[in-house]
Amino acid sequence: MSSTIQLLDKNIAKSVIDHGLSLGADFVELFIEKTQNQTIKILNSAVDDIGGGVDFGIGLRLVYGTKVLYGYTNNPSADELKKIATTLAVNDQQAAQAGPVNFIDKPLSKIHKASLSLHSEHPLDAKIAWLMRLDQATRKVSEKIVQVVSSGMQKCQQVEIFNSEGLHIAEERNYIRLMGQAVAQDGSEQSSGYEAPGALRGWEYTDALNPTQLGEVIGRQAMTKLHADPCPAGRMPVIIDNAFGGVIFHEACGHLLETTSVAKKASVFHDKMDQMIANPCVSAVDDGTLDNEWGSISIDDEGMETQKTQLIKDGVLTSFMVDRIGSEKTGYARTGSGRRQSYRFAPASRMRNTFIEPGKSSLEEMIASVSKGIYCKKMGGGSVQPGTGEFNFNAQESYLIIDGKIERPLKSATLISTGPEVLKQISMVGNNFALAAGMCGSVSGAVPTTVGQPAIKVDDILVGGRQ
Amino acid sequence: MKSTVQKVIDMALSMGANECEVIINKGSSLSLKANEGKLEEHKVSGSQVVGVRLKNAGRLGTSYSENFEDESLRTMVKTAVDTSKYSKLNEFESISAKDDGSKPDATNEYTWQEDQTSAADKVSAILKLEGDVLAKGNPFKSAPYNSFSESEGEKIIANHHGLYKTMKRRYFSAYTSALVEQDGKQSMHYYGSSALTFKGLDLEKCINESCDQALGLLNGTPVKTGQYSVVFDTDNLAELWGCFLRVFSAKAAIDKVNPWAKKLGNTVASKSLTLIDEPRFKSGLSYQSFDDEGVKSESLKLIDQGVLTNFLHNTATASELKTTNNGRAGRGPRGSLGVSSTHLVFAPGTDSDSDVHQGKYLEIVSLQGLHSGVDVISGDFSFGGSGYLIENGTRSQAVRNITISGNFYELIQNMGPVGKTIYTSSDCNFFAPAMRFENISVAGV
Repeated sequence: MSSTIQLLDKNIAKSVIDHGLSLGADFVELFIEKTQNQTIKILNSAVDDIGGGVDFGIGLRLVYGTKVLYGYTNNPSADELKKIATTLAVNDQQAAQAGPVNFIDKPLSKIHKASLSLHSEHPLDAKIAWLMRLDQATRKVSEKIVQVVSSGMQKCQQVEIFNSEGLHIAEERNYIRLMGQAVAQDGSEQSSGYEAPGALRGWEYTDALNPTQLGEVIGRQAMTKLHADPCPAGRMPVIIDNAFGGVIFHEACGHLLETTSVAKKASVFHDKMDQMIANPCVSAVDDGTLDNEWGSISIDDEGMETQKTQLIKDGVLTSFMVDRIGSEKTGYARTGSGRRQSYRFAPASRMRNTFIEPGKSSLEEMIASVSKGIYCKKMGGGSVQPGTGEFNFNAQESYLIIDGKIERPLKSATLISTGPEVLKQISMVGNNFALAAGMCGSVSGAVPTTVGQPAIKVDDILVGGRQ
Repeated sequence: MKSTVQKVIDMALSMGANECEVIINKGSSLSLKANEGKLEEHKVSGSQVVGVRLKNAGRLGTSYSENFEDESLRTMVKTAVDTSKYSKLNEFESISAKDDGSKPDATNEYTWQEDQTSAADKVSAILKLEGDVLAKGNPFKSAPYNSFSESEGEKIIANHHGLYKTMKRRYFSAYTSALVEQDGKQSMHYYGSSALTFKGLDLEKCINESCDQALGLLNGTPVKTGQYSVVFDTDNLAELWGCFLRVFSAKAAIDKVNPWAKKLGNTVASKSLTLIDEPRFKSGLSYQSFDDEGVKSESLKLIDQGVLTNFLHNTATASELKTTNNGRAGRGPRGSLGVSSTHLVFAPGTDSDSDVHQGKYLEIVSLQGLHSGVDVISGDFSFGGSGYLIENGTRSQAVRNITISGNFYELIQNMGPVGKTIYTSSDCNFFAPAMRFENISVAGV
């Protein structure tokens, strides 16, 4: 696939990188991106909007030591790119540290196939029909479902990377995400349900995704919350179910293991390598290699082949997620974790498919172990303050547990804690492992990431509710 | 750019479109970051994007391109024409704005101010944002996140009626953080400043607010779980209202995802609240004299003494709801037509600030989880928060690790005192008096 992607003339790339080297930069990189998008939105059971277009641009990075100079443009001419390099280097210019570059084309060792990508001209009619089935199935759950929004997003991102070490590599990434949202209403009470599965695939992803079942899940979520009781407030045990429940690890720990924050010592884990940072029942991984997963990549956005990174093993911190600059600053080896939203961003260490590995407990055993607490079946999003590890995340669908049994549904609640604390409070890890797609925002923009875990039991965490 | 605009319109009409609108955004930016007394990141950019919205046999289509070469423009227009065939017949959305005769650069006089700041002064600014935090010494450990940026851009809105509006905008922004560590405890706080000129940036406030709050919250502990009166600082008050702006959207009302869709003319908030969307507010950074369809934008009262008086409209929503368009179209080159607000300006309340701050209450200076802890449909929210417990004018306890939960729509109907003094958010887009919210659920210990 890489051999068919030629976004920038190789001679232009060479002349620009040679120019950057002549300015004394230690490292020069060109990141060229062409991304085609298509979105379809169904509202009121009719096509409301079909949009899309093409993004094209080039990011130029010059590195002096650990100092990053970055510029981008939509203009692929050598003159424009050299002008940007000269402008960026105005205060750092020095004698050339390296000679002219000679590129060696590097093939991809792994390709995530997409048979119905945006190139395939798969008919819009078929896509609309699938989304309409999702709309109808969601509405069918109850007459109290008063609105449904369903949408499909497909993206074909082609990236080509040249650098002053002679690297030339390219990758095409095909993304698909299907979204359904339901609004339920009964008198003055309103509630909503939401699901948004996605993959690194083409439209063929829908072959294994039943719109009727997905619609039923979305509709049921909205109906369950419609007359739910307010969530109790205070410290209590919480069972967080699988799949998107993994947002707890993403927020509580994942961001703190990126060298973006580690290098600045803005992570509470920056000096904890090889130390016990979690309950021994916790092992966690960031794996960019999983076939066609939403957060997978063949190469990172610095051109390095991605890999599986064991972050925590039996409670012990075993690795950070490391990009090129993070490696320079911390001394840890790169892990193929340099990612960026687009050519508009310099890369930074970011998560890919990040999850807690399966344990042995069943969900039923966990619930049975709680005398009074919360079962969070579906988590929403969250955020973390890297310097302190303080995080919060929202429970989208949750239930009260009394005496080891699920009592009744609850309205939305927030769970807050700190990374180090919650990792030690995980006392049971389940066997029902699953992954879920999400978008993660950070210094290098919003990138597709997968979160995941089996169900886990957190013994003591602050729950914010209204009761 | 006029030739590009005309080319796109000509292509659209020749491919069978009956109506066509073009938006072009062109801009450049500079951003700087510092680490350990040195420039850590220096970023410059130049970007352009053209978007087309067209109507073809009663159906709408949109597309965009970042490449302005003829072949790319043709592909963009063809995509819009082709996809329009799958859209619903839309009798309400049309491209109808005509030139109102106002000067094309009327807005630019305010939003584009000359600036001769040297590159060296900009570098000094970012080094100061980090250096002044570090200079405070122990227990200030670092300023790990800091930034100075300058952005300038031009937006062009044109259509097949000959409308051609341009708006230039330049603005500056800066922020820093302070990370404090002592006795195994850590605390971090950010503060930012935005302005139309470099000189308008308040770097000292960025530094002092970051340091004061980080230090002040270092030994924070949770309060006892219960019901509290809460006063949010202006930035967090802006964030809170910002989570629920969909209630003013006519588009959301039509789409049946606006919980206030049927409440026009009804009381939705306390009598003490009057809220105006003011596009020409000259203390703000979002000044505009026309919206993204090129229609004139004037002051618009959204809530008048607690009564919902207006929604934000574009030509399509006004047509569908059979009312007057108030010039609040929101659309970028990449998107379809929506609505958007400009500056949110609250009228002064009738209480003094000392009434707002009387007795015991929680002063919230930081909210977390705003993007995930909100259900706009029901009004329920649940955020992480930190701040101070105030008793009789004194900060009696720094407060951290609490959650703040409630129903926004119920809370604003039962407001406590609303002050007379108007404060400005750090992004200069929100202007409001101090507001006291009563009986908010707080979970702590």
